[in-house]
Amino acid sequence: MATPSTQATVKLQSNDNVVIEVERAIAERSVLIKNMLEDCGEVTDAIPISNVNESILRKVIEWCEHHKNDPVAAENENDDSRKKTTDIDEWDQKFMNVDQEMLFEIILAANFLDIKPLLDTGCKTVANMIKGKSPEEIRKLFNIQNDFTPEEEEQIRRENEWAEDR
Amino acid sequence: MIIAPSEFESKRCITLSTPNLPVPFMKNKRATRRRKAAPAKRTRLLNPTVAPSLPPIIAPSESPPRILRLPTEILCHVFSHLQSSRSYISLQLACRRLSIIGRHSSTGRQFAHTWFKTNCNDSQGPSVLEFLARYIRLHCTMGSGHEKCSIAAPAGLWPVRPLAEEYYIRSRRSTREGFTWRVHAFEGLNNKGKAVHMSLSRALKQIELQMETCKPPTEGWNISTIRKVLDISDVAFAEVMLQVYFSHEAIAQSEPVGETKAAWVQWNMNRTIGCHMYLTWMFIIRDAWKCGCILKNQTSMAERSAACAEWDAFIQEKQDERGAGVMLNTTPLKIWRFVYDRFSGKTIPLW
Repeated sequence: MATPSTQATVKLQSNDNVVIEVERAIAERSVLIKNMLEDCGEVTDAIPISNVNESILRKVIEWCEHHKNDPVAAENENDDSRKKTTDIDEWDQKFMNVDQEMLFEIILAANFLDIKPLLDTGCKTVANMIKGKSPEEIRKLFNIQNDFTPEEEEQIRRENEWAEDR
Repeated sequence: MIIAPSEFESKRCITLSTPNLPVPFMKNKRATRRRKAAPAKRTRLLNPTVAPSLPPIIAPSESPPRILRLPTEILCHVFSHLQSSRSYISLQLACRRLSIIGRHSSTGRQFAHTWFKTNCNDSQGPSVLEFLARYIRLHCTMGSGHEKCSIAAPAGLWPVRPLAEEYYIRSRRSTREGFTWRVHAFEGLNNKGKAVHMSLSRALKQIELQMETCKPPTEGWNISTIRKVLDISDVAFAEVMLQVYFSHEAIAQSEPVGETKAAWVQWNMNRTIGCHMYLTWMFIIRDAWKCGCILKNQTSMAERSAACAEWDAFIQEKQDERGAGVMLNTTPLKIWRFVYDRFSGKTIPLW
């Protein structure tokens, strides 16, 4: 009798109906898939990943493949001995060097599949893009329309005066 | 179905260039060109098995920009990974939705929490938190933990002139409306006109304001409860402290040997700002030094305590020189000391 852990690969199906076969260990970087496999035992059918299209799914799998040997970080939020850093490692930086559309899709997929380190890397990448920019530059960067009324803008500016002019 | 790389490449083209990703405010020429080019490619490469599942095309006018299509919880996450309080505020000022998310207290706290976790290098004694805790305990208003420190407690981190002390104690006892120690201590900084002085003063006022509305935790202030009240202004405060630290370290390192670092910084301070506020400054520098040492990730525990000890000794020496009569009340504040408890794996405060 085969135990669930002997299953070497799993099939993932993107929302555009493309089935991709990956090593189980790689797929298990996703907590969603890991839990699913633990609950269901052996899964021979393709697992539908309904929110993610093929190109993004492949990109996410590429990330999981590269990070398959990373230690799983402690989930305890209060654990201060776990150091967080602002730097993104070189490989991840290259990996995240994609257009904005792709970047946000990766973030959404990481959130859906519950891959916290990838979600963090994605959010850090966005945070790095914002670094040192003025509100106007941020709007330009992300094509955001300024939807404040002049009064609102003035009020928010006043509220945050304490942090300006440094 | 496993597809060959070449086939995969062509499909990726389709996915990326599908016109379901309108860019309403995009004025970028390259993007427009790419969008125009897309339909031709699509007809050529369209694969019947892929086509039906393509997401519906949304009219450009209805679609928000890409970043705003992210759910709120992910945008909170982006906020919490920003590197500075200025970036935080800039992002908040970009549009209404981001402003609402940024103004929510949980976003601010999450940001502060991540910031201190990332930037504070003291894993065994979270001393910047301790430093802020001292602030809150000693300077916050009645009803928010202040009553726990006695009326006779030392005047504050940066003591004022001795003559004024009696007045301060009285006012602390009666009313705290429109008056606080910290704001008073930094009033002079505002007048200095230097950006760093002003922002230090502003950040402190903001912390003060926060403390007005902050309820003291039932278990009292300790390292875990302080973490719950840390906010973006605390980050701003720590950032300014770091700036003060670096500017004075630069002075200290630019000069000849023979003098101690502390003496040299003091000499420069005296030269640039005059003897007015001189003593207040000594305390500010000492605390900025301590805060900066901890925040600057390269310093070791030993280096930090050496630097702080040098400052303390220096202040003591100057006070002795001037005699007890004119001197400030400099009784050291109760500083929390943290020890790492091997058995529970926790950092616990000692008094």
